[in-house]
Amino acid sequence: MQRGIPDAAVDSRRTAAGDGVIVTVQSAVKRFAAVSAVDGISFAVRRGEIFALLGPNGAGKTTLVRMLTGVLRPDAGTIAYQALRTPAAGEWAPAAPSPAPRSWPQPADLGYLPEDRGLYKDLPILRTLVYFGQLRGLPRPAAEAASREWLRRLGLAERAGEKLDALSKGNQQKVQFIAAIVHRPLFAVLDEPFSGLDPVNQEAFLDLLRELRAEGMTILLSAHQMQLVERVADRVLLMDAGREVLAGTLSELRQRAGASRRIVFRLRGEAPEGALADLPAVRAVERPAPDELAVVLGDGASLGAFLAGVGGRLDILDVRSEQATLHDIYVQAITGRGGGREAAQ
Amino acid sequence: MNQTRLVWTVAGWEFRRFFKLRDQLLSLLVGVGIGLAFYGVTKLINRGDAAPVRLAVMHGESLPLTPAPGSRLRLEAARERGEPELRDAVARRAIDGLLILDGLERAELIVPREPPWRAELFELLTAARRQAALQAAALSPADLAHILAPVDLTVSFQDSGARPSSKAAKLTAGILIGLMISAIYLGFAYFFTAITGEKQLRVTEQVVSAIRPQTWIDGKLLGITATAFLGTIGFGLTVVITVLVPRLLAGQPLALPTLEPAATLLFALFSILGVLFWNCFFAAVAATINDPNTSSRSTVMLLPFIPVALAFFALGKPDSPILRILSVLPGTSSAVLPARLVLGSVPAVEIVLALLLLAGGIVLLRRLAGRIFAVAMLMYGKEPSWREILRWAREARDV
Repeated sequence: MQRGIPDAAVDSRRTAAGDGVIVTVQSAVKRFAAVSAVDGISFAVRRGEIFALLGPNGAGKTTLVRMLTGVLRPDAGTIAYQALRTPAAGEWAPAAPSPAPRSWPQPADLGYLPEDRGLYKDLPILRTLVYFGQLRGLPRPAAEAASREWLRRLGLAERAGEKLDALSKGNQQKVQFIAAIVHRPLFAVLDEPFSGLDPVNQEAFLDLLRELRAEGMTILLSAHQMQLVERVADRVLLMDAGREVLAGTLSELRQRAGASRRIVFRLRGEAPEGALADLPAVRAVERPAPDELAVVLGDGASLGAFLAGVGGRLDILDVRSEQATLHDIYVQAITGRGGGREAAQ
Repeated sequence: MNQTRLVWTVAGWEFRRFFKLRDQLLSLLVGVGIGLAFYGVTKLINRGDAAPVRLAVMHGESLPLTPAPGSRLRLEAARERGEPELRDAVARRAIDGLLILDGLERAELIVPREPPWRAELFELLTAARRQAALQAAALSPADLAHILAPVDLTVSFQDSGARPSSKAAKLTAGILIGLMISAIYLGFAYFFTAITGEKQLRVTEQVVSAIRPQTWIDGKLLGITATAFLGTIGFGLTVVITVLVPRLLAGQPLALPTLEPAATLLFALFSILGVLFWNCFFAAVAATINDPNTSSRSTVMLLPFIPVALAFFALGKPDSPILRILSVLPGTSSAVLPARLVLGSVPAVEIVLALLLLAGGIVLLRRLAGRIFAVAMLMYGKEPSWREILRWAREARDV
């Protein structure tokens, strides 16, 4: 917004002009007593992309997600959905843009995985999934077929008749995920989808998200595991204290945060203090290890000129180039604006 | 999306969630089992009661005793055996007792312990004494019956349809009120379990993002009311079976109270509407409970039992002014009016008024419950104050 970084509102205005936008959020505000959980956020989610809301605990992600799914209403601002088309039973295809926008999607168009996980623990899994499919508009036979198919796909086919309580936490999470997308929504909102999953299942889940995107589903993720999100998200919105910190594609964020290139030198012996800081291309110098020197180059700096400048000033054993991670960008952005209570920790 | 279809989807879900046919059949079997056990235990306790009772009688000439045919009492004259010897025979259980007569007025019975045939002996002695007194007074049994006969009083009621409340009618009315309380109790239990459970399991957000809260609560109302109703029928059948089984085995058929078809229909209609009415209340209050284990609000959910239990007063005075008022008020009519119908007559205008008020009360309470439910179901960690609840009921829109 202000802060000299192009914000998502600009992006949303561009995309809302006819670039396949599913939902547009404009200046959304939600307050609880004296606390502004969401404070003037604007963005748009494009059809067929994975859009990630990122931020530390308390950033306002879940409140924003609840407004997007109709559980909460914004105190100010608007959330407008473009018309969504629900494919016929058994059919799955990206929806054609409709010239007639409307403000809220049909339940069948929307899928929701809440942060507060909740399913009927004392009832058979299949029965519960069929019920949620029906609530989202599927006829009972179609809901049962889809539930069985998803259980098979996630390796739970044999446990369809068991109670949810009998499953491990990770498998319960899978069932919860199926309940959110069993009806094949056009737009799925997944709040903290990775929590409770072990590393193997996290990988499998990333693959699943990519598959769903390839099939045409638009996905909005809310998460704080940045290393996972950056591997799957097309665009991200970084939040802190209810406000936007950064927004865009990962490469855009790297550019905007000025952290696009980081050169790490491994040296013979201890890295000298303050070395290379005098070179004009260098924006910052760090010592990640006693024998390592990491240099962050400024925007537009020439790598060739920089390397020539390094010349024989260092006894170099190895050189590697690193891209700044989302975590680096986030911490840099938050600390840069004096925030990031939990991120800084 | 078709809201009606969603309401029925939720109703079916709630019904299947709580109504377990197997449990119902099991409770019927338990009823049969209890009946059989009751019969068996009674049989065991009374075993030996029919065995002959040997009684030695001293001074029997002063009051001739003749047991009726089929009586288990076997009277034996003491003859030349003396009292100490007979007492000893009683102590040794050689005979069951020693009866010492002292003229017409007094008798002494010596037994080891309280005998189960004491009443039978007392009746025999009384009859023998009466017979002796009649003979002394030169009165025939017919003369005595004439003297003791009651006045034949006939009561004619001017209000058409008015009739006295027989014991059977009172029993029927009491059963109807009991069934109504049972149905309301089941509604309370299911709603309490369903809603507080869903809040604790955090199911709410998932559902509210898919359907309107009013749709959700409407489905719950239909599903849980049906479950409570069928559960009450099952409970009633279990009680009937429990009572019926031992009586049938003992060859004592049970005369079950009967209802006229019109009264049955009215009772069913008022019961369903009454349970729906109070279920709206239960849904609204249950949604405001944060933790069912610690909330004091659980007690509030018991309040509906008070007005419904007032219907028991109808058994004594079904046409008293206060009961006539209670029989048209929405909170009480479902129990009081059917009871009054069984116990006497109720003007048609009161029935129609009661139905209209009950239906109107349901419409209003359903709407209020929906508004409270919509906000309260998403409130975790804190129970709303009564003031907040009233504000939601007044202001919440579009649920």
